[in-house]
Amino acid sequence: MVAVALLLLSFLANPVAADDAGVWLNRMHTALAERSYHGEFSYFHGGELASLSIAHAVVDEVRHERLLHLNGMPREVVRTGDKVTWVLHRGDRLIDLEQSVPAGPFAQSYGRVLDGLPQGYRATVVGEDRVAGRRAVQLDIEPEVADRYGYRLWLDHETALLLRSELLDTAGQALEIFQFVRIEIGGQVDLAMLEASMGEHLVKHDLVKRDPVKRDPVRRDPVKRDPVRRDPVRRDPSEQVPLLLADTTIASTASGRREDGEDVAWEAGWLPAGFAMSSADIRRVPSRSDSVENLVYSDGMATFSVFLERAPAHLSPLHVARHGATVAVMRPVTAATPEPWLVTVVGEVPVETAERVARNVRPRAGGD
Amino acid sequence: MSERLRESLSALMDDEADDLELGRILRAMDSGEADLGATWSRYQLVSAVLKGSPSSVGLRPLALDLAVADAESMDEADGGVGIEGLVSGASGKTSERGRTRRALGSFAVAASITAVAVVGWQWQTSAGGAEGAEGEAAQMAAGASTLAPATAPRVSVLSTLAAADQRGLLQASVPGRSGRELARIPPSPLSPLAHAAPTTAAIDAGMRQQVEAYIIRHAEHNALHSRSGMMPFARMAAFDGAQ
Repeated sequence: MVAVALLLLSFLANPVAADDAGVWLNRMHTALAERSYHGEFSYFHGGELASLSIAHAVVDEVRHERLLHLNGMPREVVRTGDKVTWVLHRGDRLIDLEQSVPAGPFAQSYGRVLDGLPQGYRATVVGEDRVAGRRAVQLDIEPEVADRYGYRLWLDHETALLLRSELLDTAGQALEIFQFVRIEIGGQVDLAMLEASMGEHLVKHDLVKRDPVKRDPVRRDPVKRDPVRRDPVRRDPSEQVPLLLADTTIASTASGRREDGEDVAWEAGWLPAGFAMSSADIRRVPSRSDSVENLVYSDGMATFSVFLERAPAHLSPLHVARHGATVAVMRPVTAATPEPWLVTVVGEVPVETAERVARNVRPRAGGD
Repeated sequence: MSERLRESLSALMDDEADDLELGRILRAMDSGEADLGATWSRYQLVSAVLKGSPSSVGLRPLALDLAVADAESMDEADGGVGIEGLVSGASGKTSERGRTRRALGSFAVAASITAVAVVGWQWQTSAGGAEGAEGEAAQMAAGASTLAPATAPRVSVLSTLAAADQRGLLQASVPGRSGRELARIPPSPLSPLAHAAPTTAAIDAGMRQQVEAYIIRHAEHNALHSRSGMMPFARMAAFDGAQ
């Protein structure tokens, strides 16, 4: 323990601690997008430990990435530019899940370009450590209010690539850990590493990202900033929700518009401070006659998705599912509607936050 | 801890605790028996090692097993709705009493545990009071600033359940936790289950699949749009879902 403290002190004397966390985060985002690297990493979540291999490179200004699940059912995710493809074996139940709710570009996607640290978190450079045999800088990212999770990040000192990350619950315990076991950065990335490696019996599903849509008119609601909450604050669900962060230029209206012009009909009546809508869409489910509405909210670090569908005949009460850091809450919509609806909130947020969001999802009042 | 209590814990682990033993454990929980959580954790680990697959067995918090055990005993008494739908997991195990205990796999949908988790967390706070979830959140926020990263404990394996386990016995016994008071939900699985109507129990397969599909959709969207690099992709690739 003393030895560790001495080691830390010697590291802290190093000027790396002088750069603030926001600078390091920016470097990390850039490195993840631009650097070439490949290696294997451990991924701990939901009480299980998985091993994956990853390769990433930018070739002719196009981003390529491939993730291969090394345990259990072989699964790959292959990315070329903004097109992401699942590569699955026949018989993988993921195929059924993929077809349950169609993927595809969101009709409305609000690109949020945030510099440095998102609002609502405190970040500090804690010191140095060693990960995957490389010198690393440790960052702690703590939420100001315990309605979302915190993070610990270890960035490669030389390139700022993410070497290890922990997602921490409100009590400081790790729900999810990602850690490179071996990583090679830079150099020539073998193109074969970036392509699907599973040969036979492939089923592919494409997911496509669409660029943020420029929306007009841009209407800004007056910004209401929550003070850092130390005392319990009762939030009235009918209270107007601030949807706009002062440092972004996103349209403040939360309506999404389908290709055929119909509006997304729902909104989150309550959001944790700092969360804003980042995407909205309606998808038609092939096996059913109705559609599923999908809203996505983010605060720049954490994201949750809201799904709305007409309730089945047998209306189930609250259900909660957990998978590692991800929680899913499904419940009937509390607002009075002509027909019953079911709302599901999925995200890497504490279950109380997800439950509260779900309870306050309501039909949009009027139009823009 | 008395030898009888240890044996009762061991019996509960093997799905063979009778009502007397259950009562003993409940009393121990209520009286704040020291080391209860730690002993439970040890038994879990031993069991996992004996089964030969420590990495695939999530540690189950004691409160959950009691809830499950009580649900099952309710079933036998009332002939009510089975708990099969409550907890779904990777494998089943049948004890000599014929009850099927589902080992908690990677995906647990636990309506009754939600009831336990929700107990004590009321979103409406009384005027100015610090009770309820937001009071807890405020305490957490106040305590969170005492993060001591250099000496903070490393990984503690969490099971895959709702908030109850974060504040239940496992949590309280982890060494090295900072001195702040963690909220404790009184472990009284009997009362929420007694109030739970039979319709709380079952979640049909179709609905479960729908929730899993949403989880995948969410992960995919994250992977495409977040700037955090590979973590959401890893979530996608490693997603197992229920068997």
